[in-house]
Amino acid sequence: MTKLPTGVPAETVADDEPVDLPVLQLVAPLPGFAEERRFVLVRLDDDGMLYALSSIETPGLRFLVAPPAPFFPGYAPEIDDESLEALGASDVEDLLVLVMITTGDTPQEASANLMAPIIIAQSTRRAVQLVLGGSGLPVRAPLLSG
Amino acid sequence: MPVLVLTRRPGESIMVGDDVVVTVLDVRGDVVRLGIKAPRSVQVHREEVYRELQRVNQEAASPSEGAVQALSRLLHPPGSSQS
Repeated sequence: MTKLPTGVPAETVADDEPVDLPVLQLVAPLPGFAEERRFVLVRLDDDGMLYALSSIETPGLRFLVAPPAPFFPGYAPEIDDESLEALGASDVEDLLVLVMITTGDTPQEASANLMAPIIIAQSTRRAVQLVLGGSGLPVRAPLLSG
Repeated sequence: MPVLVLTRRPGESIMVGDDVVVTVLDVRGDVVRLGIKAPRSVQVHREEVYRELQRVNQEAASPSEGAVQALSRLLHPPGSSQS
């Protein structure tokens, strides 16, 4: 098992930058979305707090994701060797960790899925929703505890 | 879907398709330990965990633009240095 980096990504593309976004290929489907394999990651703000993981195959399908560190400073997920291999990541620093956010009825109710973070290998552009099944981590952790 | 019922002893296995092997490791009282060998492309999870993830992912999918904006405003209050 290897500890994953959880900080704010240094370099990504904002949604108003006219460039071709790198296509991310899921190595296993997201639970509940068996057909969706290709996504792009779009930054939604200047400071890299919110991103959209948008499907290429299904226009309009997107997930709100965020780097965990600003919200969950103690969050330290670990990745198993098999997943690391499937992602083709040479080194753990190549990995980007994002948690999926459910917005809820009001922004105060927004929650994050800490049990199944999205892991992206930046060099290979492969991604997976890593299921930390035995971790006891919550699937609906309040995003804003204060 | 049809349900196939098989009887197996500890140490015995069943094959699912060409490359998934489920082995009964041991049985103690009402607890059965299984070993599952499957390629990485086949996701193996406890059913209740997987169903919960399906539900959470479906809830999380495609939030409205308004909900995203509202959350973004909460994270970036006016007057903060970030947009």
